Amino acid sequence: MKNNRFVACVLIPSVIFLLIFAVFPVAYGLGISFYDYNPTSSYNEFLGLENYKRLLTDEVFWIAVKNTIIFCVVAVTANIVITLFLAKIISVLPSKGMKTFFRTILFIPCIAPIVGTSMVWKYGMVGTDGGLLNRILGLMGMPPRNWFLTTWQLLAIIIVYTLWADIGYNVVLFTAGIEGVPKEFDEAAAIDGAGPVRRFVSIKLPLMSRTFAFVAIMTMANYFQMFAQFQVFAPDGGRSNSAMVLTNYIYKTSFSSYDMGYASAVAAALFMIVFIVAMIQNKMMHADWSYE
Amino acid sequence: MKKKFISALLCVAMTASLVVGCGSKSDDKKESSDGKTTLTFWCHENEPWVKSYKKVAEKFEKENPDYKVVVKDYPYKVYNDKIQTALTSKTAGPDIIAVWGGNAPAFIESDSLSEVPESLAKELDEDYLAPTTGIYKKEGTYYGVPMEFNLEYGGMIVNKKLFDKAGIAYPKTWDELRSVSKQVSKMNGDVSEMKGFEMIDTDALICNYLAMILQQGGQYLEEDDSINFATPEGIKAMNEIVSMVKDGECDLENLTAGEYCYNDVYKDKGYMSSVGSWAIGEGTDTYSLTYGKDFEYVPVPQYGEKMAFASETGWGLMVPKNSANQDMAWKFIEFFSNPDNLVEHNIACNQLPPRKSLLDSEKYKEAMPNISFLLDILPDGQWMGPYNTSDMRDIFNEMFIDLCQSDKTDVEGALKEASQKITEKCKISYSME
Amino acid sequence: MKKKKNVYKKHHIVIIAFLTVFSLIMMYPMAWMLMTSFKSNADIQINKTKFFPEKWTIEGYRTAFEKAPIAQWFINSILVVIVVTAAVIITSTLIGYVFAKYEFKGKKVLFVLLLATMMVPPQVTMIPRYLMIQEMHLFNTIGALIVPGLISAFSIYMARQFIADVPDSLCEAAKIDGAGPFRIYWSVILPNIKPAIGSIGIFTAMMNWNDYLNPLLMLNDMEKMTLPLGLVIFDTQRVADMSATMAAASMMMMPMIIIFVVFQKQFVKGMTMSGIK
Repeated sequence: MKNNRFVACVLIPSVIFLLIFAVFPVAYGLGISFYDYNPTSSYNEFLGLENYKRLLTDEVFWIAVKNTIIFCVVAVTANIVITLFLAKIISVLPSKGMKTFFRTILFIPCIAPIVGTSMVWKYGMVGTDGGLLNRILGLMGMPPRNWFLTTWQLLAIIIVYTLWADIGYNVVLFTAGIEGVPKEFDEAAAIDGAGPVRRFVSIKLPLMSRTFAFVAIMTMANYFQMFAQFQVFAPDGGRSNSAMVLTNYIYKTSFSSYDMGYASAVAAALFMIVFIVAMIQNKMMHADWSYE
Repeated sequence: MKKKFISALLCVAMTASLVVGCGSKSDDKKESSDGKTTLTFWCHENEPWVKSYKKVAEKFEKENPDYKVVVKDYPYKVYNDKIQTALTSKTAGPDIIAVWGGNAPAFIESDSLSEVPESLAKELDEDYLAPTTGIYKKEGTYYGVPMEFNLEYGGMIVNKKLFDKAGIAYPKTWDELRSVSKQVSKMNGDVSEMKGFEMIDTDALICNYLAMILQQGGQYLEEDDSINFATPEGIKAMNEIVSMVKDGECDLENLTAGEYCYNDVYKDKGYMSSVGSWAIGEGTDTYSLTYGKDFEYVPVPQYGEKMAFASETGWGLMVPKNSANQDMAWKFIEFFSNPDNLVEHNIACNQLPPRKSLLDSEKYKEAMPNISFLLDILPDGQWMGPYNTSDMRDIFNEMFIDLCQSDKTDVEGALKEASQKITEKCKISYSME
Repeated sequence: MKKKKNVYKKHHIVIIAFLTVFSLIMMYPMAWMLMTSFKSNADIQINKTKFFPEKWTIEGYRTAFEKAPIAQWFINSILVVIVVTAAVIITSTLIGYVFAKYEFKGKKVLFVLLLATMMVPPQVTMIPRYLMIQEMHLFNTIGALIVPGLISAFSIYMARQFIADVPDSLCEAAKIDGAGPFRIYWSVILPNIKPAIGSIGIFTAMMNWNDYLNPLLMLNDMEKMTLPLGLVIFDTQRVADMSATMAAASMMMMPMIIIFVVFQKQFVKGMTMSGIK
């Protein structure tokens, strides 16, 4: 259909809105990254590429890059493997009520705000004094540990927490995806003598590739933005910054050290990483994200 | 149909603008309904302190009936962020901000603060103890007025119940302190089940360490104000502190969780905790404990031969430039700093007075018999130095955790590295004079 | 009855047993939170290994209500969620409709631009948005959370995908009957994408209900905060009071969980729509 007046009526205000709240901030941030920027000062010195040069030699920044990538790769992979498995075995159950029941239980942590549940974990699971982890150690006859003093273990705990908080969502998506595949394919393969695992990997997975691509891309995009649990578990990045990720580093640099120019350079780097990862994923998944 | 849709859209737009409108209106409004001008006073959350601020505000209102002082408090953890945003913001700003001196440089550095008026600046030069005013100066001009002398060293909270139960007297010498501490503490893995003497939290650790260096006759500030911990005295003191952890007298939990040690003592999980006298108020107010029955505040046994310590100013008051009532805000601070009012505030908050003229105030000594022993050592203090002490603590505490965690025995190397890092990264970027 | 029993085979039992254990583990943190909220602080200190309270008490809830404006945080959170969700449903379906059903110059470019904005992590634009909100005098008002959320690129994308599936013939028919573009939108498009509206609504509501970063940046005053930020602040204030902290956390989470369990069918349907599309 064609109706330019209507299109203009709707789009002009929307585009202006998006320019202000979505496009302009990116440009604005890029601009700030060339300054020694502190909004309380009336004069902010222009530094050129100085902030970016500083990135190259900033140890904490590279640790944060490394941790962000480790966190995303490990957590996303584990998430997809676990959720596919759970979705598959749930879909095998014969009773609909039972399927719904387990799906609902698994989904409950997703409903609760991340800050809230990570706080519950911080005290109830990881807490030095009477936390579940230390009690399990105690049952095994080992002395309790202060987990906030650990390095990779703390990051691993945050990954496990994130999985706990987030798998329900993908389980729901995958069960729907599996159920969307017509039964006939599966039955035909079974007649051909393919075992259940083989049938799942070589028939169901390709047939639900669209769901798979959507889940993988959204989960990845989502995990790059994870922030709240890092704020709760390791606000200062943990011991030797072993749980420092880019989102938290940006926050810390801009709102604790008030070094907004440099923080903007870190933000630009995060943007580049997300962009590159999205491109790679796009290639790998052949996902149809473009127009039509 | 069309109408219905448009009305729905309008409805949403109106609710949104209503909500938005309400919010900003109440912030911009400086005159309250009864025609009084409002001064907004910001502080961090601490029950007795806020109470005292409100009391001073009330007194001020009585003398200046045209003004109203509204005291607003924020949790300490977000407080500095809030100050920063307030200084940036053009609305919703406070007129007077209570600030922790250690954080003041970040705000003084920018040009968003109002200068201390001349009459008050003269008093700062003449009647205030040097460690309290140092940090508030930029190129010879003051930007803040201290309310207290902050002393994180000198006294400790002791759990009287635990001491009585164990039948032990409070330690009087450093050696006694260590042996009592070793005797009563109980360690399980990384975690202390009962702590002896505690000084390892974000605030107290460095203060105790610096005092230990200075008491041996050492020094950590070089001629050019750079930091050097790797002196014989510095190494000895560090080994002493690390051994407290390795001997299981206390753990690193307060350091990793960012909490104060005295909480353990109030919760019957520790015997002694080195902390400023302000923590007495936390015990009586937040924990509803009784001084003299549940806990007491006594001198920390001296580590070295002569009394010495370093102090980093204290809480102070600033006025942001974006305040609409700068003159009145300074008048309020002048009122606040008046020795008669200040001493009452110091008493109410368990603080030490920053003014020389209050060091022998009878009123103070009478009201604060438990902490007046600290007044005698105040003149022995030196200023910690032109450093951002919060950043300094970050580096120092991280080094300390590393020393305790790894079996790294190169204390000298670690101290050297930390000194260099602190000198490079934490020195205040503007000159004081 | 008999018939049903036969459906369960051996491997079903194994799966059910596994899922039951897994579910119990998944539920443990939530259960711990609830139980702790009903314990007294002394109980928490002394009986560290006990799961159930020695003596049930609502002391924690009382403290939470006394020491924090929890009711106000609730109202703020609900206000933000309702206004933003309503606005996003309208804007995204309207804009999605234009992209799905109308031809105009620059459509492709605009749509790609729209998709590109989805890719930007919020932390990247955090500082500029914070500075802009101050310039707009929205800082420390609930409007700081509402205004930037009125249009969402992701929701537009989802709406467009669904509206594209509404047959063109329906629109054409309505047009021949003399319906204008708004009329077509209101009486042809919207009734045909009801599930999508539910899906967008659930997404938007959940995102805003759980948002922590924006309130953290944009709000100053205790009375203006939303629940997630309020909870964190409350926690830092009352380190010694686990009972009250968990009571506050329970009060923040339980209503949403109950709503979800009651409406879980609609929730799951809405979720799945977004994924398999």
